[in-house]
Amino acid sequence: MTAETGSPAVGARSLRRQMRSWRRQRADTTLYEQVSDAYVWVFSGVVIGAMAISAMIQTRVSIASGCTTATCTDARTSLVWASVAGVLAVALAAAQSVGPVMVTPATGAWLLTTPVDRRPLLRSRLLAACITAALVCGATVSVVGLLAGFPGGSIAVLGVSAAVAGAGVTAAAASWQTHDGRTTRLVALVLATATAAWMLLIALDAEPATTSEWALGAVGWIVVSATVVVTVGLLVRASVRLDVLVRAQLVPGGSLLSSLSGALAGLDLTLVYDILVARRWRTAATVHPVRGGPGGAWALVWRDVVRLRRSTGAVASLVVALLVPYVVVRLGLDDVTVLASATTAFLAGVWSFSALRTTASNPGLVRCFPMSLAAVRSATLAVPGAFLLVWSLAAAPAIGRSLDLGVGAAVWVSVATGAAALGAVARWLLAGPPNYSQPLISSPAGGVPIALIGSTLRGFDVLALGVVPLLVSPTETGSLVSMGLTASVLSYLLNRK
Amino acid sequence: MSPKVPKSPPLLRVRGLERHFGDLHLLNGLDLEVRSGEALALIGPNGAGKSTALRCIAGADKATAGTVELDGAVLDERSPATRRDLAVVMDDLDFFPDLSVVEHLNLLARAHRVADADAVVDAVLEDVGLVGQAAQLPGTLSSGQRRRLALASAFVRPRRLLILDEPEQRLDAEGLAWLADRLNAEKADGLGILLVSHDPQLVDAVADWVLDLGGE
Repeated sequence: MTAETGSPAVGARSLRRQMRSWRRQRADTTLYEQVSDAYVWVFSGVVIGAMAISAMIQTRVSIASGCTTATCTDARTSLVWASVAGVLAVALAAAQSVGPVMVTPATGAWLLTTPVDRRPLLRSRLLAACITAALVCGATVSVVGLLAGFPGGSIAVLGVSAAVAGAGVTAAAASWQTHDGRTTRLVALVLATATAAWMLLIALDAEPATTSEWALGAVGWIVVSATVVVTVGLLVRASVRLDVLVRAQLVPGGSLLSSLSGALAGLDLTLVYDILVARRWRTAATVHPVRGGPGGAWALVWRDVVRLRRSTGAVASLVVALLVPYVVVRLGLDDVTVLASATTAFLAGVWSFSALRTTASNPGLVRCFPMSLAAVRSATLAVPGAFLLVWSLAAAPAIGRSLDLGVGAAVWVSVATGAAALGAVARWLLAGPPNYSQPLISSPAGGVPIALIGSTLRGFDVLALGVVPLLVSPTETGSLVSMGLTASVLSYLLNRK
Repeated sequence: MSPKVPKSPPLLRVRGLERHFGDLHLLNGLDLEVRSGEALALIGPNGAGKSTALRCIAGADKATAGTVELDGAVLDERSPATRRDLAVVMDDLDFFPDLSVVEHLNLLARAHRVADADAVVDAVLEDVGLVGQAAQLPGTLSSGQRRRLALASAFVRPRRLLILDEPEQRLDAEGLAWLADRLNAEKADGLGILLVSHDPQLVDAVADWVLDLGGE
């Protein structure tokens, strides 16, 4: 059958109406039953949300009590401005990764191949992306403002401005989607660099003095109004350009989101890691090959040197993360510097260990190497592990200052902190997928393997094991105990089949 | 399989191999031998246990019962010596997402301390027809090219026994002809080959012995 030449495109509204009608015909539960089933989730959400807000308010009070000097107050205020730029950079990067306008592979195959009018169909996707970005940006900046001790009015103005700006940059990214997101990447990079530069100024105690009082007056209203006007303009522009987008620019983001949501539904965070790493390198397509190098297990070590040289993003994130312990000290949070350093090293460093993860999830690949499993894993751990330890040494001045330690003790505690992060990375990356052949426990979401919930804490357990001795005794002895515990865990993980 | 009177210890000897999944007895006392310079093909319908047999022999799966010996010693896939002698290409072989085709082969050759690794890698690249894809990352290769890379990973390193699970998969007609020639050359060099195949032409061209697991 062929469409009549010149016939008008099918309306998205009529298609949606048709699909809604089909779905309703097949519905086997009423709305009341659905809400009844979901009450546990609603109740849990309310309770956890209340606990989170209470914890944040307590933390705000705690931070305020430890931040009594003018320099500390300046640093806290400045951090909020850095967070605005940072969260907008993240929003742009996320938008570029998924589109931001995208459709599922099914929609791409079944709807976009028909003479349907695409613009109304894609407009709902654009709005969904903008609303999501607005919620995330607004909530993040509000939380940072709350913790920084801003007054309620300033938090509201900042939160609303950040939310609207988040929607605006997402709309801008939608406009730039036709150019394969090059401009989006560039703007995200500029914002990320600005964030890092601002954090560097905070770490060096060289940031310009700023206040938050302006947000309570007319200037606050002007900022919100201007942000709204610009965002509406960007939304209109993006909406007009929606029908320029081709299928190849819409489906990959939907495929990525489908894969990620599948992995997250199973709480398989390492699968999320695999998906993101695979996508990053599939986008790169080719590299400048590097040959040569030593033999035996050292060949794997050398390959990691090459790998790190070409993984500029992973290295840059670890370098920028080095600012965190110094900023934490500036904020007067001396008690949490070790914990913050270890957690930052873990979260920023994990992206450098892709070879360890690849060998962990591919027994066939490991079988190709003429050495034991432990030797292969150790070789893939060596270079990024050494990089992590260098990172921890670079954090030693901040850790030493926060704990009032001499140079020697500061170095010991810092190395133990880096080792704890290394153990956490190994624990996280060497984990297997969820085992659904184990006994399941009943939950409102269906049967859940016993170990599944605990898998979200994987990595952080080893991190805690290494950090607790340092918190109890931030000395050479505490460091030795911490490193002993981490070494035991590492040895077990590297040898476990 | 017709038993052959041994003149020297076989390269691979499997005795009484069993693999049970609950009540399902997929392998029941499988016996086979592969000698240097010979190829044994396992054939049979889907579900006959061919790939399971290969997985048990290569150590990727744990047999319920039976013994597997490589050159007269119990085959332990954890042993570096076994990994040096055994080149396995099965479906569970994946690649580093951030290393190019040539870098994969270079890494394997150097890990096995192959003399003049670069020349060997170039020869294998030429052989498998991946010269044009040398700088490409595995995620961008077609399924046929990935299969060629998997086979290349076996040819770029020292080996005494090749274990191949349906090596003809996703290869075009030209690739199949190349594969048969290559495997015959491997035999001529004194290697033993154990393969599972659904391609009668490849089996005819390469196998000295054929064991039909569905032919009870």
